[in-house]
Amino acid sequence: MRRPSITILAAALLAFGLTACESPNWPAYRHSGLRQGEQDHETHLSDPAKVPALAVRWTFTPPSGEGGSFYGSPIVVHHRVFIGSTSGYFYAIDAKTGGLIWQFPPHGHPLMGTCAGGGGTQTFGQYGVMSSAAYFDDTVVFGAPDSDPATDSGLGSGRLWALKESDGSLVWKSDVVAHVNGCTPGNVAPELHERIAYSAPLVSEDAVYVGTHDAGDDPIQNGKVMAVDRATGHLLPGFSYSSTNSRGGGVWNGPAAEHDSLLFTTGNTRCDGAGCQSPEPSPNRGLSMVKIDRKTGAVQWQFQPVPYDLDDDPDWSAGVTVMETSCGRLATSVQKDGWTYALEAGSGSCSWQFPPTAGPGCKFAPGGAHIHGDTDYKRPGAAWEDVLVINTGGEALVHDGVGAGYGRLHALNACAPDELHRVRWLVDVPHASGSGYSIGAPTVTGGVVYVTTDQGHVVALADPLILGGAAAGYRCSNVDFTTLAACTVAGYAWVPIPKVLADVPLDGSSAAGLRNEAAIAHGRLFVSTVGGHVYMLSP
Amino acid sequence: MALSRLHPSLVWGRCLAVPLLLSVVLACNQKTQEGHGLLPPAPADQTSSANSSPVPFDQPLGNTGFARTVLHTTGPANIDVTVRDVIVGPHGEAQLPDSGGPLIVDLLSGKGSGAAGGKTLDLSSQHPASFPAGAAVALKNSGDGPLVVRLYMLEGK
Repeated sequence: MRRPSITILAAALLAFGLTACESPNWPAYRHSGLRQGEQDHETHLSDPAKVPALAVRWTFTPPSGEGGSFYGSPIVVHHRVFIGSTSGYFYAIDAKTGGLIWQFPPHGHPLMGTCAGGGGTQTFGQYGVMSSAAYFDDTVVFGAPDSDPATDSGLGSGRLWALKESDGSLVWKSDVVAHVNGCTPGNVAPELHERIAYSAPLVSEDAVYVGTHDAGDDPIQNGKVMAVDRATGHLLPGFSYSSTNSRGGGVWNGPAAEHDSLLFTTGNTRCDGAGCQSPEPSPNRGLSMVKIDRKTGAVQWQFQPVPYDLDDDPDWSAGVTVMETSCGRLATSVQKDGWTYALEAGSGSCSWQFPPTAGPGCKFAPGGAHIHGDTDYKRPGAAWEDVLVINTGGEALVHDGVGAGYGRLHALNACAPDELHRVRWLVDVPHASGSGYSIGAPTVTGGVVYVTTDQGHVVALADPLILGGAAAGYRCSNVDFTTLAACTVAGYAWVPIPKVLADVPLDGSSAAGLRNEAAIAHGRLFVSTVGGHVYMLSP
Repeated sequence: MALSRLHPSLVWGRCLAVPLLLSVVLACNQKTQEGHGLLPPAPADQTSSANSSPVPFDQPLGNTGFARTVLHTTGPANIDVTVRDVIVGPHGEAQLPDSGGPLIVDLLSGKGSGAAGGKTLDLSSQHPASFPAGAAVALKNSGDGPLVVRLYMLEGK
């Protein structure tokens, strides 16, 4: 047999080198365990000349009689889209055509317990599949309630479900990771109302991790991260993490991976449907960004900017975006009150807070007037090297109040030399109502940012860098100043407004309200709506 | 097998393949950090924004201060209540107009002090500062960022 020539060998290796570290898939919520919301593999979707042609190419609607809302985001692997609905069904869809490939379980047997709880999306056991999935070894995994009467009487205790990518057959269902053993709102432990709901599983090394939380604070549950063996679904021996010694500190988001550790954020601990806790739980890992050892669950550091005294329920809902920047590895996230934080991932020390209000260490002192309440900054940011694109309160948060940043996207320079240069650009996202929940979590590819809106639009924005510095205009980083002179004298920055490359309405207008991220895979964009559809768009 | 005994093309092949494989592995493990840097400043003609604010800071206070009125109403006992926000630029100073009544200064963000009648109070978010009626209050920003305060002014009719 003739050996391949050196030239062919070299070419093959170079081609491998160019593609090996960039997967065109979107195999997890926020793309990977780093939860960066970035697609490195550049396509037409990262070409500002092509993006204006973005249009809907197909729409998927669940089979008749199933309905439901898509609160989770799609993942995309091997030209297949995987997503579950609040009706308790999980679907595999052909990424090229929108055709249904398989569903789990079969029609008429949804993953749904009997425990309705508070109703709406805040059910204890009837939330279906709100969790975005994750992919590993030809398997997709997600969290959902188990209706089996042998499992906590079928009330809706939560498990992780691992299915074969090819045909949707069950590989394993995990040990119970979220217990529901009663259905009375306000009842505290030993009655448990634990849910997986919004937490997307993380696959890291030999385990799958997921967070647990409550339903509508009725009452708050002791937040946990649970770990199961990825080969069997059995709980991982020796791993244990819970946020308190009583209740609170729910883990609402998908944990992120950072070397041999996990990073996540936690909810409130002080008051709930059962009243207010006194004394403060000990430990109290609520309202925090937390880093734990992935083998044992031991806490490596905890950052709690809002102390217990000021806990008016600013749950930390957005998960952690791990940024690999020119100034080091940062763990970034926005708390529900609108403040964004960047911590050194290794030590947990605060690199910066935005807006920079709390002073050294980025922690608010107990007491005084404050606005740390149950508000709606709940979307994680997208990382584009040193740039963090995120829905945050902005400079006006301190004087305009919690609504100051709703409907806006900020791009923040994570490695800015000083606070004056923190804001890179700022935009009022078109076709977003400007109320809470009005935009989804942004995603980015090659400097093109994609964001979904509550009015059912998909909007593409161009970082000015990829347009040779061109912008749609300029404005003050504090939106209450309208001239360059006043803006700069007052101590703020005059920043670009990024150009809108595309603004695509989906069918169904506001009923198509989007809550989550646009997944970017193989040059296609995939979005899911509360109205119960999945759309594929491409230029 | 000694390297010298190999066919020359195989020697070349190994010499090429090993560094190429190494470079691929290193490239995958060490994502290049260009960072994207800061954006260039705005063009000289871009000095005002098309975006308006429902509550702009439209009242200049000297060279480095700006104010806006958030609320003006008549409270109990026929007392006028005015709530204003003031922003003072980094290391700047702003003289507040005489309120005609007691004044409470609540720090929202930044670092600074308020001075009147030879008395200076450091501003704190936990302990609002109060000044008597008729005091000519000067706000001084001692930080590198903006000083943002909320003023509560009470004036008897």
